[in-house]
This record gives sequence, structure tokens and C-alpha cells, in this order.
Amino acid sequence: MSRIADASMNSAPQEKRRPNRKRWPGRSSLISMAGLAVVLGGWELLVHGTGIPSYVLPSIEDVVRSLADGLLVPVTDRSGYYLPLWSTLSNSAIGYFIGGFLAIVLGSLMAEFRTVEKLLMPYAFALQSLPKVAIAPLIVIWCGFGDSSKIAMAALLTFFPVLVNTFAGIQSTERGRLDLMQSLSASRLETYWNVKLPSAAPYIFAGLEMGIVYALLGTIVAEYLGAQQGIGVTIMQAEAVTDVPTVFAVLVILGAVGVAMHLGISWLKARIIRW
Amino acid sequence: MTFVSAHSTPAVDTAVEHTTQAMIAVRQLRRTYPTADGGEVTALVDTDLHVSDGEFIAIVGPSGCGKSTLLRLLAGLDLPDSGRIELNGHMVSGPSRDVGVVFQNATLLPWLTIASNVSLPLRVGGKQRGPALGTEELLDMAGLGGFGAKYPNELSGGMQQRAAICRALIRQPKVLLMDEPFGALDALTRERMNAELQRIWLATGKTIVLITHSISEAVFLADRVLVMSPRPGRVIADLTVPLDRPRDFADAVGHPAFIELSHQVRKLLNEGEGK
Repeated sequence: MSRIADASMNSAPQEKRRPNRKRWPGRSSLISMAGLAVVLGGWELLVHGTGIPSYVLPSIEDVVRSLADGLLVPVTDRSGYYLPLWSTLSNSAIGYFIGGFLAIVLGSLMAEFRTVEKLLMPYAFALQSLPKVAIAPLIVIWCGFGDSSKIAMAALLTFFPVLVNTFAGIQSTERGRLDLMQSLSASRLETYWNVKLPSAAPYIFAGLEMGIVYALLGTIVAEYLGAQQGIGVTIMQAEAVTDVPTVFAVLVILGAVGVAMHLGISWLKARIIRW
Repeated sequence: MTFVSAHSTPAVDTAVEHTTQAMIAVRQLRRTYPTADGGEVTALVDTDLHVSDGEFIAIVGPSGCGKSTLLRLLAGLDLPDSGRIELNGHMVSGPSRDVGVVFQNATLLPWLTIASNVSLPLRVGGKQRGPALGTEELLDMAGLGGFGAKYPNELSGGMQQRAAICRALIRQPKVLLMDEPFGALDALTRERMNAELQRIWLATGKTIVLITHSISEAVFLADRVLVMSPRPGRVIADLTVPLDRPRDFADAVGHPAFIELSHQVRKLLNEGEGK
């Protein structure tokens, strides 16, 4: 790849013929930076030009100040963002692993055993089409205002995309690979471990990529419904005193965290699925 | 690797008797499949087959004539409606350690290295470990020495299929069943693979059943060429190839016996089509 690119760069006549084809790697990030600049510029114009009250739309300076106030403190400072962020992220992660693991196990059982599929599939789909955020109050009643209800929500929201993808992935294992395992007199479990689960891995990772975003969503929803700590609580408290810059600052942080988690899963996927 | 060596007169006698014994005996085989509209289609009817130990036979026939069905039945991947299949004196009722199968596509598992793919049969299919060949030794024999640590997608189609042959040989089966193994390769690679397969066959002395739709491949490789009729498939001709071993592809194609036999097979296939 790079050798071909080098070759065309060095050949002067080609460059003369197609000067517009010359590209540099930073080009696409430059475009998105330009987009961001336009949005931020428009925001500033709106705030300073139209007299929108700052409790509706704070100025960028206010948001940056709130960000700095929350981030430029010791990690253990109670007014900082680090403690609630840690609470939210750790609960999301625990829920994510529980939900993801259960989904892979149950999805596998459903794909392997028709009885389990018949037993669970209708309910899985019924529960899937139910807006799960609507179940959140019930979960809080059952699990209380502590961490367990946040973990439960994260697990519940992670569960379905991973379940459906695991099931679909295992079901779509290539026929030839199954013939191979059959010709080797492989047992059901051997076929599952050696062929079906790895074949389903790209599907399972697609589910896990969706799930990581949902896990965070589930935790924050549970925090909104009444919790002692967490980034959702920080948002609710800021809202209560109409500290809108802080709400914005937290949203910026959540956006960054979401992107980072997604990148993390993509990285893991690239490490594991190399074929 | 073990070779049957004739070091004394009695040994020669047993060897002679050994070769006349049927490795595969198929009688009055019939296989039908239900169709979507409730009818049934007969894939195979009145099929008889007799393959001696150490013999190389090729089965040619028009597409859809039940060649692959026959191979699946021999491999124990499918069961006949009626008729019997004996392998080394035992009724076939399922996959057997005595049989190695090479599928149309190499069906290597992309997440395993070539060495792991080749040794896969040693890790599945029950704990009763039979005699096994060394992975390195096999790869060397197939001209894949030094490629054990590579992944399938780093190898050419021909190399992948050679690895698949190694995998089929590693449990030291008595019979090698090959279902159009070189169908996906270009003509030149295919000729090389044919020469390679002849070499492997001469080195290992396996009984080989090769399904192919290439007449020249069948005549070049086989001791006997069996021609099948269009659906419902059955064996309509059994032709012995009178060429000496080892055969050289370029020499063989010019040989009068090769030309005559190829012509005969083509005529039989065309007659079948015309019916």
C-alpha cells in the first residue's frame, strides 16, 4: 500500500496531470475540525447576539470554566467530576460484563437447543420491543437506590443487542465448517468451542459495540431516578440550581467517554478478530 | 510415516491379498430428498461401487448427478434410504476415523494457524487417540514446510487446499474422500496440485475417492474412472486407466491411451446429457 503511494508521489508527470488527487492524512480531521469551529462560532453568535438567557444556553466560556472547575481538582475532591464519573463508569462496566456474559451464554443456548429457543425467543422479543427505560422505576423499587439498580439497568440494556447478535451469529455458521466438524466426529461442545463461537465472534462484537453505549445509558437513567452518587446525579443537582454550564460540561465529558469506550471495544475487536 | 514394505515372501503374499480386499463396497445405494412442493427428488439410485485397498478412483458426472451425495454417504455425513455401504468390512453408519474428507473449499478455520488447522482433528472427536502423524512432517510432505505459523488468508488457494489435505491425513485414515478439491483453482495451479496429489498418494498408499468434473484430472490421477449418469445418478461406466506411474501431466495428455479414454468419458457424459 504505502509503496504504491510512494511510487505515485514520486512520479512527477502523474502529479502534474492530477493535481487535485494529492491528499494528506490530516485532511479528514481538518474537515471535522472546521465543522466544529462553525458550530462553536454559531453558538457564540447565538449567545452574544440574541440575548438568550444563560440558563437556556450558556456561553462557551462558562462551559469551559465549569469543565475546568470539575477537572482541575484532585481526583478525590468531592466537588470534582472524577468521583461521580468513577461511580458511573464502574457500575456501567460491571453491568456491561454481567449483561454481556449472560447474553452470550443464553444466546448460545438458544442457538444450540431448539427447546431453549422455543422457550425463550418469544419473551426475548417481547422484552426487546419494550422500551427498557420504562422498566427502570421497577428496577429501582426492586434493587434500591444503591449501585445494584444501576448495575441491573446497565446489564439489562447490554443484554438484548448481544443476545440477538450471538444467536444470529451462531445460527449463520458456514455449513462447510459444520460438515468438517461432523466428519471428524466432533462432539457438540467441541463444535461449539472450535467453530461456532469463533464464527459468531464478529456478530457478538457488533452486539458488544452497541451494548457499551447502552450500558452507560442504563446507568445514568437509574441515577436520574434517585441515587446518591454518579454523573447522572451531578446532572440532576446542577439542573436543580439551574447551573446549565455544568450540565453542558458533564455532557461534553460523557460524549468523550462514549467515544473512548467505543474505540476501546473496536481496538479489542481488531485484536481478537484478525481474519 | 509408515510404509508397507515387502521384506519377505510371506509379506508379499499378504500384501497381494490386501490389495484385492474391498476397502469400500457399496451395494444398491438409494438416496432421495423431499422437495419443497411435497414431492421427492431421487439423487442416487441403484449405485454399486467397489474400491480396493490402495486404489485411486475418480468419479465424474454432470453437475447435479449425485456425486456429492455419494461422497457424503461414503463419509457418513448422510444416511442412505436403502442399500449398504461397507468400509474396510464395517457398515458405515456415521463418520469414521478411517475416513479423511477434503471438501470443495479448503474450509480452513481463519482464526487458526495452518499448523493448528492441520492438527484440529487431533483435538476433537473423542479421546480414543488413534495413530497420528506429526504436523510438521505432513506440512513438509505437502510442500508447506515453514508455513505452519501463517494464517489461511496469507496462503494462496492451492496452498490452502494442500493444508486441507494434510488435515485430512493427520489421523492416518485408510480412505481419503475428496469432493472437487481443486475446482476453485486456476488451470495451471490445478495441474500442479494434481501432480502433488499423485505424489502424496504414492507416498502414503491411501485409498482415494476423488469427485471431479474435470475429465483430464480424473484420467490423469485415477486407476479407474467411474462415470455417473445425470439425476437420478448411478454409475454407468467403469473404465480402467492403463497408464504407468508415476505419471507426468505433460506426457500423459499426449499419450494415445489418455486421449482415447478422455474421449470415451466425454462421449459417455454427452450421451447422458442427451437423454
